[in-house]
Amino acid sequence: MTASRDPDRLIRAFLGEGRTELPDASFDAVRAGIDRTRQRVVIGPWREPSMSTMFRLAGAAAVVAVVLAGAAIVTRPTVGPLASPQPSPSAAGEPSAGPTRLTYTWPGPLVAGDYSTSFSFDLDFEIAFTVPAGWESRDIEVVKGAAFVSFQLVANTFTDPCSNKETTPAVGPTVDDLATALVADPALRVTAPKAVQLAGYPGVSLTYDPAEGVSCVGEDSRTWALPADRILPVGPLGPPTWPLRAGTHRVWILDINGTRLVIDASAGPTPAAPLSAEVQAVVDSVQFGPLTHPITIGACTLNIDHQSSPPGQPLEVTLGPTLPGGLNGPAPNPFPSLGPVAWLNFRGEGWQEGRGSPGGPRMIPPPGATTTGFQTTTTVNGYAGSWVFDAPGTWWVKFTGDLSGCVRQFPVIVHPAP
Amino acid sequence: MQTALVNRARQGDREAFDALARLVGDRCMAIAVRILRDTDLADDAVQTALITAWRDLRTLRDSNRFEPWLHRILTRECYAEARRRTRRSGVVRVLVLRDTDPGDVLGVDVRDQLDRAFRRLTLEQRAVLVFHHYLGLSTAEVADRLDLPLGTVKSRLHHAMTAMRASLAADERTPSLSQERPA
Repeated sequence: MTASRDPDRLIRAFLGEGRTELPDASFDAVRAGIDRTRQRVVIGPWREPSMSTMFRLAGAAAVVAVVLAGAAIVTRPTVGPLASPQPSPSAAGEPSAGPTRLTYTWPGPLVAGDYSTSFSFDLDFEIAFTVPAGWESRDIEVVKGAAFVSFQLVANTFTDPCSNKETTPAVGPTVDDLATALVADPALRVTAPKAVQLAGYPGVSLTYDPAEGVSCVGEDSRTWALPADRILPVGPLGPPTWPLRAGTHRVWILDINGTRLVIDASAGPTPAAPLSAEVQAVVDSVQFGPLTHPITIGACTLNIDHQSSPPGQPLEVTLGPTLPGGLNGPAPNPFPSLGPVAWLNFRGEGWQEGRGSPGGPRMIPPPGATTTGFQTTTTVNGYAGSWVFDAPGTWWVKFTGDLSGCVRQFPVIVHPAP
Repeated sequence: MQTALVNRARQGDREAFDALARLVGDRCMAIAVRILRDTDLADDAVQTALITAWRDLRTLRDSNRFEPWLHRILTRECYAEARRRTRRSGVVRVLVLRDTDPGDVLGVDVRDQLDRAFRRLTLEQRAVLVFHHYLGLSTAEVADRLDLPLGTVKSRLHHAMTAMRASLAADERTPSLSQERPA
């Protein structure tokens, strides 16, 4: 081989060829894109799906497809139709009869009535409440003018409401940890936390408002950060941080079976008595109950190859060296390198990929899990692939399509091998 | 300068991000063109990557690491563009190459051999090849930039280079490809 045929040199020369400039029109398109796109703040990166192929699954046994949900509830987050309360299966006002009386759809104006939701969090419980007339729903709150009642998971606070720098070390996981952090926050004027119970769950309550001299107050400011791994991306805008809004906030920090839930409510900077009463009424109506309505948004379907998965219920699969007949048939484990696994095949229809806002399926492992699971996906003829669960616990599967506004989120309970 | 722009953009300054995009856009285009071998797809991938970077900029922990972080997003978008391309048409468009000149290191035949070999590589292998041989990053740097284990980078690089060399060694010989799925 001559010097001119030195393969590595030729390969490098080959790689050196080609355009190296982005056209001006593309820069302009980017500028237009960022003008239309709001920045989001998340605490950690989403785990990116492993892009592989369904071909590995070609040898899997025949499966029975169960349509989990195809209901079109909201087609676009910002242009969704009015939420229509459904007839209550149980009489409103029955104590402890279960919080789910109506299906809560969002965002959009709310008809006065009872709603239950996990909002955009992957909670394993639902929050039920009653709203008077004139209220609207947003990602994690219900609002009326400047008044709001929000339901939140808090990951950390910020060093300054003007800054995106989070507190270090991060706020701990308990109710007291967060209460202590808020009391210590120099941007806030906070009352002493008081032990309370709300809807039968323990916690603390306090009030806060912006401290004097704080310059960043409003929707672009930051009081705390939401946990990126537990909030569902909502449309193209993504999850917000919680801003420092003017006015006095009433806060309940509750321990709901191990989950720290924060209710932040305010009647606004210049509250009128009737509106304050409505805010209080919403808070007073709050109940907690089991998850019965995993989030489904948009005109899309998700077919799961699982024989026994009633719509709206968590999927249950069993982890083991061999897979049970009820899952994918008596097929051998197609992922021997991963050890004991359970898996679900899926096929999504009606999703569209967005531009500048990655969608698709994501897996959230159980808290404390050392595994991240595994998934194969293909986008040929729509999304299809397989979720592979390799640890017991409650996993969350989130499926988003950006342009179509489709969102599906549901838990998958993986049992240890018998 | 880049870090200052990143910091301003993180605060929501669109002008700063616009300036930042113009600083890094050409290099992104060069990377995307080389991974995808298609200028239209590369253009789309770069635009999407930059808008994604703007949207997610506040997740970037270290402003000094903007470009490596952007390149990771870009690589992901290249994969996505290639999948969209497959779904839309399944037609592989041929890169328009520059005219051959006497000083050209590559002749038409060699270029064609390399191009065909390169297109048979997986996208993941292409990315590793481009970051290592075009950008001149070490394998450890490539692993960091693409968020891959070092062993995976070395493996992909080995398979990619083996395939590319094989294409030059003998036209009639089938290149040794890895078991990874061709793009």
